[in-house]
Amino acid sequence: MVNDWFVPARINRMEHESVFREHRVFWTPMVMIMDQEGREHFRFTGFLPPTELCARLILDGAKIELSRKDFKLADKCLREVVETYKGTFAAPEAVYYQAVSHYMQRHDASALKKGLETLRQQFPHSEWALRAKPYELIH
Amino acid sequence: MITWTETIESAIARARGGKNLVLVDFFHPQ
Repeated sequence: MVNDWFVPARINRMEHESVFREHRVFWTPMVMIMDQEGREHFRFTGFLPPTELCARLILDGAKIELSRKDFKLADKCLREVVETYKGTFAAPEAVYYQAVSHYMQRHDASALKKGLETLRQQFPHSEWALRAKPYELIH
Repeated sequence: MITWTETIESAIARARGGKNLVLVDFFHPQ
């Protein structure tokens, strides 16, 4: 999925210092995710092993599709992170955004509370369980 | 096998050919 979806570019600091300055990149390795209009959506710094990197890229791609309201593709990607990359750091965030996607499509606030419950069951110590905490107020 | 492009602009041009996103790896050679 990653190879089919992303066009990769590598920018060498020794050869393209001006590109680093233009994009305010002050530390490497740094990965930036852009859309086909050249708009930056996400960036992250530091090494990730292949499995973590794939999960992170699919998750960030899913979030871009959510912003485009392509829910079919977003849900497919989020499901892949949750099921195939369950043990990665990206998985709790994918659970969070599954709930967000459900809410965006159906305006059903109970989906957000259900997402919180899933996070508390499966990833109780994750940052995303904390971020979803306000959803416990939903009735 | 990943085919890396050399510039962000060429990656964006390739991305426009399909419904693709661009991944830019900024690195410092060791």
